[in-house]
Amino acid sequence: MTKIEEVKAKVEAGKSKLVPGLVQEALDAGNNPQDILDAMVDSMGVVGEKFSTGEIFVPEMLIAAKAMSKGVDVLKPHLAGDGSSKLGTCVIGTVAGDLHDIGKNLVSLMIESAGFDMVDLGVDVPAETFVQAIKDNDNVKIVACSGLLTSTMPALKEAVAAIKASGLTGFKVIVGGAPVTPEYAAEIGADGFAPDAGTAAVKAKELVA
Amino acid sequence: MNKRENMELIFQHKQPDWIPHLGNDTYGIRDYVVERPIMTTGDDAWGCHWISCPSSLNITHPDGADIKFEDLENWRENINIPDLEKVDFTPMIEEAKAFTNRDEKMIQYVSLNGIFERTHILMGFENALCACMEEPEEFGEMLKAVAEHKIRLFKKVYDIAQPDILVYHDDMATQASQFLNTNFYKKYLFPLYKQIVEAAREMGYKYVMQHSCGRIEKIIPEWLECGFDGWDSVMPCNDLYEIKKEFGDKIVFMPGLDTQGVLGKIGSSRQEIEEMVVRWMNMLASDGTGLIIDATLAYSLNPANEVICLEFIKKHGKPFMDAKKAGIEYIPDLEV
Repeated sequence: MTKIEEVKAKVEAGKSKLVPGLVQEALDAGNNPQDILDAMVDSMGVVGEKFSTGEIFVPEMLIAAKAMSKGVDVLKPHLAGDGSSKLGTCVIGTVAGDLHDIGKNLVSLMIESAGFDMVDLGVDVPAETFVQAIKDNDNVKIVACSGLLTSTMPALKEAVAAIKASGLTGFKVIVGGAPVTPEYAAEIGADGFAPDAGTAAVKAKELVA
Repeated sequence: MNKRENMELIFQHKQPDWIPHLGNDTYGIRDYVVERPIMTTGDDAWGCHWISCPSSLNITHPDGADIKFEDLENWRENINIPDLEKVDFTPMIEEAKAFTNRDEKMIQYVSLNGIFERTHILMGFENALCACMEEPEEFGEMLKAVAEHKIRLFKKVYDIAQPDILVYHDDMATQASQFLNTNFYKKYLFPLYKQIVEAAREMGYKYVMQHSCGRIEKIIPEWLECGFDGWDSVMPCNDLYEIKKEFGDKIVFMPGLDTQGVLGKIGSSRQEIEEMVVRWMNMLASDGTGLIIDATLAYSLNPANEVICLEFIKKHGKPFMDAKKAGIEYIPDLEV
């Protein structure tokens, strides 16, 4: 097994104590930092898929994301440019009137692991705050709006409408949350929908490809 | 038959006179003294901060910035398990004085933030779940410490209000799947649940239910071995027809109904809501047994729909049971 393969396997297994050392060893062995990063992103893709299919549960996904994050810390000084993501920035938040953050946090972790820089606005986020965040941050490529309650679905609609009406361009809007369906996402004008965190990362990458 | 007797029949898995609503048919006491401030920003007795959200009916949520520890290295030093002798239970004592007709109505105590949920509040959800995977034995030790506190708290509340029913809140799942693999539940959580249920019964609580949102269908057999009498929340992400068929003689169902469907939706018609309630009655009380309805604002956040729902249950709960006893299908006249 090559060093990069080892990094990949340990990220997938969520070995956050081992991954930083292995990343350093992979660098010392002369591997390209970008290749190491790509390997970790790939392993998170596998993790996301396993989560989506029910093969693993939330904690397995969390420790894999944590392991990758530790690896990225070692890698960052060696990456080209300012270390910011080549995929761009993702602004994420739970819409106004909704306090549920767990699903949103998991989606954030997985999208970050897919290679985006994240701007997390938290919960109970008014539509105009999403718009302001798009203005305030560079290279926003994805805006992800989450809502768990049926009663806050109108707020989801309002957020998407405000973002679309802002005149700002260059990004795609994805939505998700328990009561949200692909049909509802299309109806309110979102560019994408994901039923879970693993799929959200895949969808985000698809939309910026 | 009074409300107490009717409720008793449900826990005996016999046909009641009517389908009850928990809020209407029992006295209720909630734990806002120790585990969670309700409708207002403030600290609980653990010193954890909660924020009330005005745009969400003032419901409180844990302050994510107020995490007590991120990993388990020094949890024993950093955890602040409440000393119940120093907690002022006066509001609960005063509330219990209003329970004047105990012969007619049961008392239910809703205990918020179970042992697993408390770890999320202390450490943050993600940190807690990582700790489950990375240091399960130590996590288990923390769960034990929290469970010991819970048992002390249940005793205190029993001494104050002598509730008949304990509704123990501890979410075990997301809507897609359980939080953790089944082995974790079996090794670390369920033995403590069993201990909690047994201790509560010894104190005098007649019935112990667990509230868990999410999809728990795969762990129901193991969960039932903990000794619970019923399941609160009962979300439709589970195969409820199958669960009723297989475990209907062992579980009292206390659903919040279709909170993510017509009950939560703004603009649902009266007819849509009523049809939904009848559908749930037929699903979970298909044989007339084992159903208490627990649709509350906290679940749906939609007061107008809840009013319709409660009116309907009050009006149709008895005719529904009369039809069941007569062996005929209940077809109500729905208001359009």
